[in-house]
Formats: sequence, C-alpha cells, structure tokens
Amino acid sequence: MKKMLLAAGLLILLGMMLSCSNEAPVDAVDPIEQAWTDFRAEYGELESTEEKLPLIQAFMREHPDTEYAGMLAGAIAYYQGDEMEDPEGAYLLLAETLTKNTDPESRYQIGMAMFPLAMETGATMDLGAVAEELAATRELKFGEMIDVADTALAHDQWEVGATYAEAAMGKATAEAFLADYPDDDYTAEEAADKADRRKAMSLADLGWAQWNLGQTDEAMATFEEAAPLRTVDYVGAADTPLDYYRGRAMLASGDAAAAMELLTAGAIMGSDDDSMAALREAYAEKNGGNDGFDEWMWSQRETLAKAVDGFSLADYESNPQDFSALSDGKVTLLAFWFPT
Amino acid sequence: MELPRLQPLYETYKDQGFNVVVVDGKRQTDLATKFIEKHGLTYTALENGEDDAEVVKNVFGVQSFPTSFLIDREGRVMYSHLGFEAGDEEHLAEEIESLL
Repeated sequence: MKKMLLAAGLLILLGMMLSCSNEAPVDAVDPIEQAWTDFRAEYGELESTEEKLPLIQAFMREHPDTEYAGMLAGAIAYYQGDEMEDPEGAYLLLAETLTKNTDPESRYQIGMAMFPLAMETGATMDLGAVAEELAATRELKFGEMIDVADTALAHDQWEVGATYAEAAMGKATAEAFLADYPDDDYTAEEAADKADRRKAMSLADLGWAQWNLGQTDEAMATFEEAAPLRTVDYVGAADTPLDYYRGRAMLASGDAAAAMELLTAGAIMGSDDDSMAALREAYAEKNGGNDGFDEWMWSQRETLAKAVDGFSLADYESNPQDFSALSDGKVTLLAFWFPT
Repeated sequence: MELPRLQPLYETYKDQGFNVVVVDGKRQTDLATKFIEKHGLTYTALENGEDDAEVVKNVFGVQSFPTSFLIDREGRVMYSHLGFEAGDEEHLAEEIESLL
C-alpha cells in the first residue's frame, strides 16, 4: 500500500509536468522559468533513475523556493528514497528545501513527500501539521484530505487518519464534487456517482482508523455503511481500500474465512503486496498453514478471471488493429500508458 | 511510464507465444511516436479512440496510468498491475511464465 501511494505520487508528478509542457511558451527572460524549461527538456531525454535523479536534485538545490520544488518533491521520494534506497538522503534534501521554500502549496507537497521518508528513517514529523499549514491559507480539497488520511493510515497515525477521513466525508457530496470541477461538464448522475466514490473512500479510511483506535463497534458500523458503495475495477477487485481494511479487521477479529472472501480478488487479480500478505495470513489461519496456498490461489484466479473485451484501434500508421487478432492464442500484456 | 522496460520481456518471450500491446490513453500522437522510435520499441502500439471509439476508460475503466492487464491464451484477464516500478519486470516475468 505504501509503494502504491509512492507510485501514485509519481504519476501525479508526471501528469503535472506533462500539463506544464502543454502550456504556452514561457517568458525566456525569467531565469527560473527558463531553468524549468531546460530541466524538462533534459529530463525528457533521460532514461534511467541514475541519470534522472542528479538532475532533479540539482534543480531542487538551485531553485528551492519555487513551485517546481514542490512538484519535484514526490520524484525525490520515489527515485532517491525508494528506487535508490536512500530514504535518509531524500529526507535530508527535502528537509533542506522546506526550510527555504515559502510557497504554501509547495510546502504541502514537500511535507507530504517527506513524511513517509521521516517515518522510514526514524525522524520525528507531524503529518497533521503539514495539512494544517496549508489549511490555514485555503480550504483543503477532497483529494488532499484523503491523501493525508491515506498517508496517515499507511504509517499507523490513526488519530490523524480518522480526523482527515471524517473531514473528507464533508466533501463527499455531489455539490462538493461539482464545486471542485467548475469547468467540467458532469451530469447530475455522474456527480452523484463521484460523490458515492468519495464517500466509499472516506468511510474505508475512517473505519480502518476507528478499528485501530480500538473503536471496533464503530469501525464495523462504518464498514457496513461503506459496503453498499463498493465498486470494482475491470478485474473485479474493489477500487478503494475497503476490502483490504475490512479483511484485515476480520482477520484480526478471528474470522479468517470472511477475511479471505474480502481479500481474494484484490490480492490475486491485482498487484498489491499488502493484500497478498494479508490473504496468505488469513489462509494460514484458516487452514493451519500455507500448504496448498499456491494451488488454491490458482483455482481462485481461474474462477475470477473474465474474458477480455474485444476492441479495435488504429496503430500509428492509421491501420485498424483488432485486439482479438493480435492476442489470439497468445499470452498478451495489454498496457495503457501515456508519453511524458 | 517506463514503457521501455517491457521491450526485454517482449524479446525474451515472443517466440513462446507472448505479445505486448500498448495503448496511448491520451492520444498524444507526436510524443508517442517519438518516444517509441527513440526507444526502439517493436511491439504493437495503438492509439486510443475518440468519443464512441474511446476504449481506455469506457471499456476498461482505466483512470490511472500505467495500468496493465495480463491475458492468457484463452483471452481471460488473469492479472492486473498499476504502475511500473523498477523490479516489477521480475514479477511480471513470473506471471508470464506461469501462463505460457
């Protein structure tokens, strides 16, 4: 779950960098904007983490008091902290940047990237204070509230998690969703669906925080409230952490069978290591050990697997390509991406 | 997206009946073609459709990139993967080998 949060942060970074690249050409006389333009151009030519990281580090050190330092904080956490396995170095660089950065939005981004590194390296850091500092300048958005809650829960900060999950619930309405996206053309039905998804995410986090705060009855009631809002992704796994949190709670309360039912789709059809670890634990609890787990897992995968939908799209020479023909009789990796 | 990391997997397993199909979810034709050419990617690359022909969100419900699905010889989705980090190649290789 922690790695997924980190990867999600990098995806957001790449998206932000991409959106910047689509803006009008910047004023070449502004040295910071020129430096950012040069950075993006050079970054786009690099392939490996070993090449990218020094470039990012240099930009952070040379331009710590810019909005771009905030945008790059997640990349430092990902590339230096995770991929290069240097969380202490990444933490120190971000901490140094934070002392020089005065932009509230950037300080929040740096703080959010720093917190997991602080926990990993044993440094003391108050996640709630990171959010409160930004909240003192403007109202937090739903995404920020749920990010704080998710990050808190991933690091056993149950009180902070509960506080921000409850705050996120206040934004789990169609009206609040539409207010966050005033320029988009959502129908009332789409806005209601988005609000339900927000509510499901908030309740999942709140229930898990309550469970770990020892409020087990409240937690079960919260999970029950979230259950009707549960939605699944293409492979049938819950697209919020609800099943994972609820499964962990069931396992902790001794109901291994219920835990397995909740954890199976996310663990077997997805790539969440935490769900898989919890499923193994539940299996061992129910069966008195891990014997036969792999065989059981494969039987479940056979049961859960769905036939892929057919589609036809053009290649880059405008030739229509039918996916069923491309994949016929083959093991096929179908990957959705976008260039950055 | 570390799309080039898929090329060695494709090279390793293509003769055993493995294929890679990638779809640019945001229809950035120029960027995509330059990227593919620069990195020498030889597997099938497609561009998402528009309106009724849009498949990434409408058919597969994909909201985050990169997202991957591993499909067996019978056309069943056996595994999904969000993101693509260093080290994921090994896990994907295990999954591919288990299906070949």
